This record gives sequence, C-alpha cells and structure tokens, in this order.
Amino acid sequence: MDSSTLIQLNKISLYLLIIPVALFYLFKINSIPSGMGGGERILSGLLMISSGILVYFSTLGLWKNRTVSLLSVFWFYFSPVILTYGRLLSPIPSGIFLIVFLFFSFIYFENKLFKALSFIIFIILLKIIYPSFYLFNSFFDYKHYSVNFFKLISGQFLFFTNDTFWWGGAREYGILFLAVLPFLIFGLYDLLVIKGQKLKLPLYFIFSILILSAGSPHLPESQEFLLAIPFFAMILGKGAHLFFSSHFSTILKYAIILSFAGFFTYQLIDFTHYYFIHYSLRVRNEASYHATAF
Amino acid sequence: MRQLFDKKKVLLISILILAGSLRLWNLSAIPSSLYSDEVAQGYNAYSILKTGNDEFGHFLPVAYRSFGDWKPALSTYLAIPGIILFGLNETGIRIAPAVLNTLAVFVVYLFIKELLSGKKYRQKLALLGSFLIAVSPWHILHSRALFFEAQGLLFLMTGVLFFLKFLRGRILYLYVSVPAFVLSVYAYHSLRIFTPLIVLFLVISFVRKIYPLGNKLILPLLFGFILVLPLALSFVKNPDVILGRAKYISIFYDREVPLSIWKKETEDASSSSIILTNFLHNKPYNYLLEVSRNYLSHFDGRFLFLSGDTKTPFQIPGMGILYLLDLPLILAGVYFIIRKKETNSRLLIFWLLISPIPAALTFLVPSSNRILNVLPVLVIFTGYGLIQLLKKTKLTAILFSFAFALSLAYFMHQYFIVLPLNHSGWWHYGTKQLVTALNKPEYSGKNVIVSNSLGVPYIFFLFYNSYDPSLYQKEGKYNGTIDKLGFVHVDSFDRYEFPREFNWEEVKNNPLPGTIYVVGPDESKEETNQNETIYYPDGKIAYKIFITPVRKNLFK
Repeated sequence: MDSSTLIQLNKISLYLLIIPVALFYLFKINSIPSGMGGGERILSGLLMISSGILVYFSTLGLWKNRTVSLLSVFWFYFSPVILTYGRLLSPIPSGIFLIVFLFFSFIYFENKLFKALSFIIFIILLKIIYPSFYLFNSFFDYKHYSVNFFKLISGQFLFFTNDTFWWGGAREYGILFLAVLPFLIFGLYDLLVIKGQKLKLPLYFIFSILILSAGSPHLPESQEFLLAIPFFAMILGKGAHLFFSSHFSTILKYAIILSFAGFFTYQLIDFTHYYFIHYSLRVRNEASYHATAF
Repeated sequence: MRQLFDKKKVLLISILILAGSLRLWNLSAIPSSLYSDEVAQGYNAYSILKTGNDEFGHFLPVAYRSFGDWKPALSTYLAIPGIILFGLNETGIRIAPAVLNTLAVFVVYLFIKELLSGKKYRQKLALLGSFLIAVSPWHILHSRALFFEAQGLLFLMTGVLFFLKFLRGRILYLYVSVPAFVLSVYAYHSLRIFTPLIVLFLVISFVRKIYPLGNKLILPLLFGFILVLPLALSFVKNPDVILGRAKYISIFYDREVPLSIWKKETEDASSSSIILTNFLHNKPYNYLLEVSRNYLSHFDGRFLFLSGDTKTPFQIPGMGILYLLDLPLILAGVYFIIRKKETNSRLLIFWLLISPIPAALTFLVPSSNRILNVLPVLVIFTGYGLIQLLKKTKLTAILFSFAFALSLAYFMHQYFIVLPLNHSGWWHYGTKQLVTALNKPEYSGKNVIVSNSLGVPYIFFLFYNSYDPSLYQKEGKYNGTIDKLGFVHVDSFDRYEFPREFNWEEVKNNPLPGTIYVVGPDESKEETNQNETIYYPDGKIAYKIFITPVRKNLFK
C-alpha cells in the first residue's frame, strides 16, 4: 500500500472510532445517569469527541506517526473516565478540551508569544469554567501533599477505584482499564529514553498536572487530576506502538497481543454493562438519598 | 601493612560494625516487649530443646501448629542456641535473628559483587548496598525480633550467591546453594512460592551453562531432594503443614469477592440475561482483579515511603518501610539499569516483579513482611541510582549524604525512642509485668482467669514462667473449635484459665470467690478498684488485675 492510501485508512479508522463512542454517549442519555436531562449532556460528549480529534493531531504533530496518534485516540476514547464524563453535564469535558487545546498550541505554534498567550487564555478560561479548581492550595503541607501525590500514582487509583463522593463516576473503575498497564509501562519507558525534550512533552504535562492537583485540599473531589487523562492516552499510544513493533518472536508477540486485546475487550464490555446496569442503579439510589436526606 | 589498612576492607568492617550495633544494641528492651509470635517461637524452641516436641507434642516438627497459623520451624530451631546461652528471655530468643541478619549485610556485599562480576563499580556498589541494608528500617525491624522473613531472605540470598558462583565453574558451590534454597523454603511461607520461581528463572536463564554438566548435577540435586523430603512427607501426612496458614489468609478464603459477585448478580436479575450475567460476574475475572489490586498495592508510595505497614507489629511510627529519600534513587536505579542493560538486570527485574506475588494472594495487604524478599533488589537499585547521580557533581554527593544522615537520625528517633515509649502496646508490652505480678507469693494458689480480649495470653504465661514443656504437653487443654482466622484456643493449664467467651460486664457482678481476674482497660472502663494495674511506659493502662475475696463479693 502506498503512503496516501495508508493516510486515508488512518483517517477512516479515526472516524470509525468516533462512531461507537458517539453511540455510547447518546444511548439512554436522558435517563442514565438519573438527574438533569440529556440535551445539555450532549455538549459534554461533543467536547470529549473534539478533544479526541485534538489528541490525534497533537500527537501527529509531536511524533509524526499516524499509528501512534490513532492508538492514542483509541486509549483516550476508551478510558472509563472519558466515557463516564462524556455523558455528564460537568466542567470536566471543557477542562479536558482546554488542556488538549493548550497542548495542541504548544505543538503547532512556533512563536513563543503565542504559546504564552494560549497558556494565559487556558488559565483564565479554566478558572471561569471550573472555578472550584484548587491549584496550589496546601502545596506546602508536606504530609498531606505526599499522601495525595502517591495516591494519584497508585495502582488503586489508576486502575481500580473511583473514590470521589460528590461527583459520582463508576466506583469500581479507576481512570484507566487494568488491561492497559503493560502499555503504560512501555510508554513511560519509551518517553524516558527518547531523545529530545519536546518529544517528552506529554510526560511533563502529566507530572505538572499531578504535582499541582496533589496540592488540592479537596482531592479527589476537586478533579484536577482528570486533566492528565489525554496525556496518559498519548503515553499509552506510544507504549502500545513500541510493544507492537518490538522484536519478540512473532508467535509470542501475537499471543501476548491477543491476550491483552481479549482482556481489554472484556473489560470494556464489563464496563459498559456496569455503567448501564449497576452504575445507573447506584446513581438512582444516591439521587433519591440526596432528595430525602436534605 | 597495606593489606591491613585496605580502604575497602576498613569500610566493609565499619559497615558490619554499624549493622551489628543497630541490630544488637539494647536488644532486650527495644522493641519494648516480646510480640506473641516471638513468644510462641521462643517457647516452642524451649519445648523442643527440653522434650524434642513442640507445645502440641509433635516430635521435631518442620512446621508447627502454634496458634493455628502453622509456623515454619526453621527460625525456631535457630533460636535454640540463644536460649541455651542466655535463657528463655528476650535476649535469648532475639540474639539469633540479630546475629544472622548482621551476617546478611555481609551476604548482600558478596551477593552484589557476584551479581555484577566483571563490572568496574561492583566493589563500590557492593559496599553501598551493604551499607544501605545495614541502615534499612525495614531490615532492622525484622532483625531485632524473632520473625521468619529476614532469616528466610538470608538463606535465599545465600542460595542465589552460591548459584552464581557455581555458574563460574565450581560445582562444589552447588552443595551450598541447594541447601540454602531448601532452607529458605523451611523458613517462611511466602518463600515456598518465591524460591521455586527464582530457581526456575535461574535454571532457564543459564540452561546453556548448566546442561553440559549432565551427571555431575545428580548428586547435589539428590542432596536437595533429601533435604526437602521431611517437608514433603510432613505435607503428605498433614497438608496443614504447608497449607494451614495459606488456607485462612488467602483471598479465596475471604468472602469479599463472592459477596461482590452475588451483589451484582442480584442487581442484574431483572435487566440482564443469565448468559451475560455469568459471562461478566464470575470468579476468575474478579479474582484476577483482586490479585492485581493486591499486587499493585505493594508498589504504593504511601505504603513504601509514608505510612508503612499498618498491621502490628510491622509498623515504625511516622514513616514508611523505606526512606523517602530512596524514592528518587530507586527510580534512577531502575532507569539506568534497564537503559544500560547491566549484567543480570533481567534477574533483578524478575525478582522485583515476582516479589509481591505471594502477598497478592492474601487479603492482608499491603504486607511488609511477605514482600521483604524484595529488599536486596531495592537496595541494589538505590545504590546504583546513587552511583549514577553522584557522578554529576560533588555537591550532589554532599546533599545526598546529608539527607541520608537526617533520614537515619529520624528513623533511629522513631524506632528507638518513640516506638517503645508511645506504642509499646503494639508489642504486647505489659505481659511480662503481668506474669511477674501474678507470681507474687500472696497470689500463689489462686486461680487466674484471663479475658479473651488479650489475644493469645496463654503463651505469655508459659514463656515468662518457663513452664515445664513436658508438663504442659500433658495438662494443656485445647478447644478443638477453630475460629474464622484459623486460630485454635487454649482453655487452660495449671492455675490459668482462658475462657473463650468472657464478658466482664457479667463476670464482675457474679465473680468466682478467691479468683484473680485479668482484663483489658477497654472492657473495664468504669472500675477503678482494681487490686493492681499494669501500665504502659506512656502511663496508659495496659491491664487491670482484680482479686475477689474468698467469700465476700468484692463488686457488690
């Protein structure tokens, strides 16, 4: 296949990725989760889908590899958090869109003034959209801060539990599926050894966000850390690409890939089921609890 | 003269002296008291020494029932020389682990030198590694008490060390390596999973060097087989010897996973097909998640660097099991070792990755004792990271040395001062004082009833009275019922009674005449008329002793 066909195929794959995500966002949007109606929620879904497209072009500009970009979008769209918050009227989708746009501008704007300007605009807009963000608070409370920081990078938080109370979310899922753990390790390694500071940019974004959000006195309720998800997706894209192109024996490689693909698909099905059955029940119960308790 | 003042030897000896001091100093008083597991091991060692049998009358056991947790017997046997030398007391039973774990520091030195043979910096890293383990809070905690883990680790490291030496051409080393591996299996539960995995990895990794030796391997392997035979035979005779403990602490025993599946199946009832419910809510998937969650909990920074193990007695107040300063060094070490593809880096990474597996299969996580076997690898990563960072500038070296000194000082303050003063209850402080108080002449002949809220008190009375084991084996009365954690219950011996059901609120209104009652402060909050009180070093009440008159009811 020539390169133009590959590019076309890549773009078609991107559009094909959007379809199931859009369907997920639209299915029973009026009733799940119970509470505010569906019309407003569609905006969140649109913002998440747009953020995904920005992730694609940002990573393409950064690493010049369409496969990595496609994989990054895939991990982004199929993160439990992105799927959940794309169906909720919440400031998170706007925050995620803004930070991906900031990243996009860092990649494509050559002019430093434009970069600085986009950073200032990002901060102002974020503060307007999401006034309860607590960046820098309790930054110097060493004990509280370290506990928060280690929590943010713990396996429990990343893969198993969403322990926010007020914001809801799927309790039994972290911000990533467990099946992506090997790709996360590969991706982190790849970015650490890669030469060129600019190419490590997603890593710097993640650490900046985690370092800042660990200072929040209301962690995990104030969800600044969710802004790191697009960059986790980028690292996963890089890791998966490194994994797929590594020099294992072919049989072993395909056996491992199939196992992880199987596990990921299973987790995705489990999550979808959990979301539409168990999560919806729990949220309904919590809504009735709030209505009667206060 | 030059040989005598060899800088490296002087440094190594200094490190060993430091390690010895940190492990041996004031051993009888810090930790402030003997923990129940130490006492159980000590008394069983005494029992084996005097009668050849454990407390239950089993001859030379390879693992013994104790409280129902089927303790591996190696460290108990190793405690016998200390008891002969110093008697049945704190020093007597703690001296063996303290000395052996000082020796472990030297083994780490040899281990690193062997592991990195041919590398320029191996001497430096070996010294650094032995220093780091000498001052490791985690290792010191396990060295100053009669536990199993650190001694098992010593045998494991010895096994790998001599295996690596054997690979360099001398088959004689295999006669040390094989028994060391086997002894590690006798020493601790989790090594029964970990050691075979490491051995398997070593054999597969070096199969090209091992295979040509052919028949020469038969004798050492036979030797290993003979050594492992007592454990295997005991297992065949009574599977509890190996599975007794695992049975009650494994995630498969815990009800959490089945309950969560049941909850989801119930929620599914009206809305999903049975096929989908069975496909998604099943044990294999949920156990896989549970094991993965437990596994990853051992890499949680809060556990490693901030709060440590929250289960007694493996806590050091106000700090983790590693120094916070270790964090950047470990990360740097892992990064550089992988990037530079150092010798045996695969072994180190494999060792690191499989260490939490035994602990991940239990529900008591994260567990610092079950993953102690990871310590040598962490020490190597820390040392390697330090060497790489120190290459940068002298200022870095000065800053790190200063930070390390501060960290060590903080640990020493927490361990040697704060722990015995403010947290002595974690180590069952007061039991010795209690037994001594009840041995006063005025109390002789009176029956003693001890509340069941005090854990496993019978063993303290046996230990601190140096009670004749042959007598106890005859008169000790057990309750056959096993509780939900697999514990057996000793009901009585001599004049001591340990009722399984004890309600102080009922007993105090109708006590037996002429009897001594021992209760905890939580169950006797109101009474202030106790005859004697045992206090913790911080002034809080540990135990209350009530003595009822022969006829008159004291409490009415």
